[in-house]
Amino acid sequence: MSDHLLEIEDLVLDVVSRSDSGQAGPAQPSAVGEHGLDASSWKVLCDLGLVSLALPESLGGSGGGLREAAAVVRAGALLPMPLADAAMLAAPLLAAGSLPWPGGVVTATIAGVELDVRVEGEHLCLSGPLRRVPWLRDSDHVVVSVAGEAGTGGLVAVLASPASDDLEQGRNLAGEPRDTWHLEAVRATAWAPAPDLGPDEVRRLAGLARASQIAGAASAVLSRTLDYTRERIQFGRPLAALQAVQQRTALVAGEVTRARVVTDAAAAALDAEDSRAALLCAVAACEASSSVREVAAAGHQLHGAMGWTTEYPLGRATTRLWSWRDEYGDETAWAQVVAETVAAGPDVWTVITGSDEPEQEGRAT
Amino acid sequence: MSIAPTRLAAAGAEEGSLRELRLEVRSFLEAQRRAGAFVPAVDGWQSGIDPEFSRALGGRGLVGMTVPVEYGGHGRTQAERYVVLEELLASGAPVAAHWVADRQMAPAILKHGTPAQRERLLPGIAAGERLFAIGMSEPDAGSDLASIRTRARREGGGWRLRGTKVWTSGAHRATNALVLARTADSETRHAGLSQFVVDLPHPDIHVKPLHTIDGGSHFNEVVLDDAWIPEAALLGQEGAGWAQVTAELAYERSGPERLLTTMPLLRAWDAARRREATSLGPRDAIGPVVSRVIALREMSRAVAEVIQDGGDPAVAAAMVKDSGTLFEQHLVDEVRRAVDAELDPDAAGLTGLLAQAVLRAPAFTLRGGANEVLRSIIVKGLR
Ligand SMILES: Cc1cc2nc3c(=O)[nH]c(=O)nc-3n(C[C@H](O)[C@H](O)[C@H](O)COP(=O)(O)OP(=O)(O)OC[C@H]3O[C@@H](n4cnc5c(N)ncnc54)[C@H](O)[C@@H]3O)c2cc1C
Repeated sequence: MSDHLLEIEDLVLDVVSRSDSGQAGPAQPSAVGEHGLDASSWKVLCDLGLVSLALPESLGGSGGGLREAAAVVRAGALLPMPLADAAMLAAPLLAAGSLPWPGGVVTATIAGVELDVRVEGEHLCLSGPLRRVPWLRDSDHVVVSVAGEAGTGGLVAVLASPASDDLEQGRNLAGEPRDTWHLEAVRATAWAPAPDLGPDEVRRLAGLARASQIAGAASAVLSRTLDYTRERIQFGRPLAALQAVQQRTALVAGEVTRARVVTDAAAAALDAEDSRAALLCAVAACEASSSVREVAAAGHQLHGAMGWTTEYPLGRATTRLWSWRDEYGDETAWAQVVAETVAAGPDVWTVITGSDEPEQEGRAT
Repeated sequence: MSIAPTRLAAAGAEEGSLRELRLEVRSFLEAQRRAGAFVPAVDGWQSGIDPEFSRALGGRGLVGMTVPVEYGGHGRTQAERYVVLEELLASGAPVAAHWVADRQMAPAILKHGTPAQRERLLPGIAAGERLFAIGMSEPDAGSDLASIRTRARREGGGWRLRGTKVWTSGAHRATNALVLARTADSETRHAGLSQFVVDLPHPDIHVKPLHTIDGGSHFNEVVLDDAWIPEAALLGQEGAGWAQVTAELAYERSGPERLLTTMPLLRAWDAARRREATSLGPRDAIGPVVSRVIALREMSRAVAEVIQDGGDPAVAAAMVKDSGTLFEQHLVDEVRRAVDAELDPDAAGLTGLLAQAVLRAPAFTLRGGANEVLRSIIVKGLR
């Protein structure tokens, strides 16, 4: 089981190492646009079928699961593109609405309550803002999740991206585009009800997407820190030979491993429709976000002044970590979901072990 | 790739049969608690020595679970054993009498023991009747274990042991001790060490309890005063002690007891919060703690899977133990901050458990190897 995940990761890491955007090169948060979407790597990943893994083949996807998609997202975390938004949000949204993969560069977003949605005959017509959509200016399509009225499922709409003049450009700490689009009676190119996807389910997918990105970028910080501290000589020996440096690096390794395993566990639980999936997603998001402080702080500390410059690519990872930990809920918000799950369960240990299975439902049918 | 040991895969959902076993053990323990067989405590796996309780667990097939049936065990899987360990730990039951024997002696004897040693020792271990003490540390050899001075000399068809061990948990109640001793001088420090299974009590082995700040006496000074032991006491190969010890430490470090030591405290806090909301902290304070333990548990389960599949768990196990034991301490502090009470070790219920946890917490990051030493192992493994 684990071997095929490692294979997927290695496949993506290979793409990353061959692109000049995901690995090396300066991070330039101040120069958005100059350092835009890596279109060639996007195409390579699409051709390998790695972006639409979580969509059935009948809909133009590659028929894998979220667990495989999360592996792709971890390994490709630093590629400048809406990989997580496409692979872990757009694909499952489309799958829920049985809609085909729209092709091109695909991003995804969750509509706020201000978005007005009307069904006009066969068409779906949207008005109002879509706020801070990842990479919207560089995308061909945006997949939008619209929450239903209380108690009903939502719907999924696919929109062709607007001309960049219609966008209010924004960015996050890493300079990744986060663009706002004020729609005026825009027709969806495709849409469908998604009765099984409530707002909580969608938010969970989005939270897990960011958590998986964090796990990947944190792992890149660890790798880089190990390399740097072995190469940099001070006091006549590599920094990595110093006890204090080793201690801090080992703590980072613990954080990285925890974030990785728990995001993998959550994705596997979603695929298996395990009763613990909702809780594990909240835990994954909480743990990934809370790992960021130490991972980024230690990474910078152990790189010295060099790490703080745009000459050196550490900042490409840490600025992303600092952005992603807050997107779709920070660790406090997700910890609250965990607390609510505990309160709703019979006792804390039953919740932790997920051993409160409802009675088998077979008999009623 | 240098970060390979961090690339663990999650273990996935628990199968139905494991869940049934879990619930069965849980209700048995709950019934025992109600019947007054034990009072839940923090650190029951090291502080709670109760031979009668261990024998009762042995009688139910909950000790020596993975030991083959021919040696009195139950031939069950590692996954089944893991589930049982978790329930024992979370219940706060006194399981220290058989814990070490079950955890590291059974696999060590299966791997290195002679047929005669297996037949002599394993049935008692599986019955929950053998209490093993581990004699590694010495006054001048703690983290630097290879510098031990205890010697074993060949004499009269057996061995004579001379030296002093310290921090030997449970030696005052033990039926056996596993003693690490130097059997040859050698160029390399790690060569020339051997392991011996010693029967206790022994006329020339003097066990002196050491008193700890939690009011207990868990560990001892053990003086080996030219104690003679038969040839059959040698475990495994003469001179191969270091490799054997290292393999044992991986078992010792990777189990669920390295993150669930304070689980009884979390459960008591949770139960108290359900009864009365006031003075037990903010409503959501439990969220980050539960999130962390669920994540660490997934890490520990992932390592258990590596062991099951025959992989090398040493680095990942050190990572789980470092993160897990830090969490065990962190949990105590979180509950302390939430609970508005002065701590009295004689108090009943939540505050009593909390007092116990505060006093025992320093040991969590020392036993089984100080966390700083584990971190050196981790970083070396990432090379
Ligand atoms: C409750 C308890 C039960 C125990 N039971 C047993 C038992 O049954 N059998 C047994 O043999 N032993 C037992 N021990 C001993 C245990 O294995 C040792 O305490 C442990 O290995 C550390 O050794 P030490 O206490 O001598 O500390 P020292 O080695 O003196 O180290 C003290 C501190 O120095 C720091 N340090 C030391 N070396 C390094 C390094 N290389 N890098 C960075 N920092 C370092 C660490 O912070 C360490 O905690 C037990 C200990 C405890 C607390």
